[in-house]
Amino acid sequence: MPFDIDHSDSRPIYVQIMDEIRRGIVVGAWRPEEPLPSVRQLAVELRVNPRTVQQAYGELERDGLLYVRRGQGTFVASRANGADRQALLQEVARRLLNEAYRHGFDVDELTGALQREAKQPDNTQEA
Amino acid sequence: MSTHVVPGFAAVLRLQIHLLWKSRAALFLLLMLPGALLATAAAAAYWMPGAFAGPEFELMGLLPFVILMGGAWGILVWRDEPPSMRGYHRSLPVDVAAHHLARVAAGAVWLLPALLLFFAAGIFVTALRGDAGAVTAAGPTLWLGHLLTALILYGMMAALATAVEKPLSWIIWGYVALAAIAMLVAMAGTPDTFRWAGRLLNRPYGLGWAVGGGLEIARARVTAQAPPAGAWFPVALGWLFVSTLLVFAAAHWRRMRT
Amino acid sequence: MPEPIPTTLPAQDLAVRTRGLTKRYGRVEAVTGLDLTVPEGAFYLLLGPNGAGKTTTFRMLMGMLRPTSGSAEVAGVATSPGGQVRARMGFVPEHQDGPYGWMRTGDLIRHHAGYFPAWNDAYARRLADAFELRPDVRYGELSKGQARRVQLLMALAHTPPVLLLDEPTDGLDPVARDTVQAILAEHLAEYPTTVIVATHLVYEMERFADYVGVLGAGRLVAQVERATLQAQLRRYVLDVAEDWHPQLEAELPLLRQNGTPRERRWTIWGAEEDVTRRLTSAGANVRSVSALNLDEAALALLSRKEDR
Repeated sequence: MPFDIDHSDSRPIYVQIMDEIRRGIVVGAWRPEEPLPSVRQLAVELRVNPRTVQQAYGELERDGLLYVRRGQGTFVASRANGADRQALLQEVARRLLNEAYRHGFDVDELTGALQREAKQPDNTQEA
Repeated sequence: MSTHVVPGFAAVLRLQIHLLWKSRAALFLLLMLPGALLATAAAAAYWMPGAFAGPEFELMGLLPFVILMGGAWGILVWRDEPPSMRGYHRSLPVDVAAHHLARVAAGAVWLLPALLLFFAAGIFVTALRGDAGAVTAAGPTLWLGHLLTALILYGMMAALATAVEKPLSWIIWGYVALAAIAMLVAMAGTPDTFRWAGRLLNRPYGLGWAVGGGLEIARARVTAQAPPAGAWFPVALGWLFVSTLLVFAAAHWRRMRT
Repeated sequence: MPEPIPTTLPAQDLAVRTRGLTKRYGRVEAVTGLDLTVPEGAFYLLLGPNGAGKTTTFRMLMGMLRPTSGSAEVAGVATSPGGQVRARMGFVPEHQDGPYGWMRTGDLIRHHAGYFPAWNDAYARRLADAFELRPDVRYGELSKGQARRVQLLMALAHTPPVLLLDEPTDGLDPVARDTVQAILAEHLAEYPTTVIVATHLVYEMERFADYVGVLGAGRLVAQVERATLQAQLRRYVLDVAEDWHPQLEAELPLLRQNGTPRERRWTIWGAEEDVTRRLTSAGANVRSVSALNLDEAALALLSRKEDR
């Protein structure tokens, strides 16, 4: 299974699929010109409605991340993905910010806390 | 989606015939009566030799068995499937009335080989006792009489079992009610009411005559008595028609009650 | 103007449509004036607590139960005690009354197959393998979950245009449920099918749903595309003064409220911007807005106070 669907997540399933494929492309799990699973395969693997997978593929195709080779399936587009990386980062930031607002913090408090957290010795992942 | 259609009636009938075989009900029907007849004959020959000798027994003696077989089979075709338990039967893609009819018709189909086996056993017993001549003398009326009797009784009981949840209770309470009415009639009835009740049972058009008439005619032939007055065959056919009508009515009633 | 919660879908090609479908038992109305509209190819989740009328509705759609009033149409055919409607449907009932417990499973499946000219034998065999059915075991000796799988096979193998599944995962252990979900996904990819699932366990089938009907006490409380439901039904967390008593009830379809006097959590139907604007102008600070998952949405719709 390439990824999991979280059914307690309030994002629609097709959005979750889109997000995961976008993420996969950005982190290099899927490289340009590589084939994606067929709609049927992905629907069976995720146990979701094939129409939902179709919708996610369709929207990603419209965004230019995927393209269809007739009779062969869906492939990752070969365009540079620096912009997608940026878009994904923006999305992560948006979610963090929402969560912070929900807890009554503003953006400065959040960035300060992020920097402090990153300096903790346990969190030595790449910056 | 042109293949998503209702199966033909012949196919449904075949399925229901097969179902009665698979449930072993048909096997029970085939074996029960010949077995009972052979056992009775053997017991009679052993303990009371000569008690039931003569064509009287061979020819008329089969009648209660046939009545019992027809009636019991009518209820057995719906064994374990009273109306409240027909959810699966009703969920199948066949018109509700037609599907009920198919079950009853499948039962009628099984009745024929069962009667043949029964007759074979009857002939066997008669032949063993050296009365085979009586059977041949009686002619086809004997067998036709048995056949129509079984079918008439089968249809009536099958109609009841098709329509109601507890056919046995209906039979018992129906019998009690009839007995009560008969008593009331006997106490307070006029000759006219007697005659009216008699018409339902006796010659020339009653059920009793339809069921037993064929055999009386056959016996008269064997014993060289004068044949009983009254046309039997059309009356028997008439009652078979009534019985079939009851089956259709019961099937339609089930359709109305969906 | 507040938008009411929709109970009708825009006109389109419908696989199932009922008009004022009503079933009364004596003086009790099990189903009242139901106007189901299920688009072709939809996976329609009919949600509602036990006793809300889901099973009665299904039996009427199957033509197994005569409606007291109203009508139903499935795959273009009016439901009736005739067989045409059932020939186009696969049906998994909640309780199976009267299939033949004495029959071996293989024989039961063969018997069932005989009724469907469209039966796909190769597919039936594949399903039997996937479900790990043992054809020699008597149907009556199967566990609830095994019997469920037999019923699913019998409903799927003639690839009907419409599937009615009444609590389809009832009695299944987690592994079997997973298998059923995989098979259902494959079935939908392979054959064009409209599915209606009646269930009180939202999470078991929500992964497939694209339409949702919520049935409460025999009436449709909501009938809506899932995407619309997800977009329109939101939970708003509000920072307010303790004595905040806005007169918004008439203005906003408020479905649930909880939280504390100073932090209210309101579940409201409506366009997010519009709702936020109204709340803000009434003096509340909208701290956050979040979408609901289907389970929460169904609960919110069902717990709505009767105000119509």
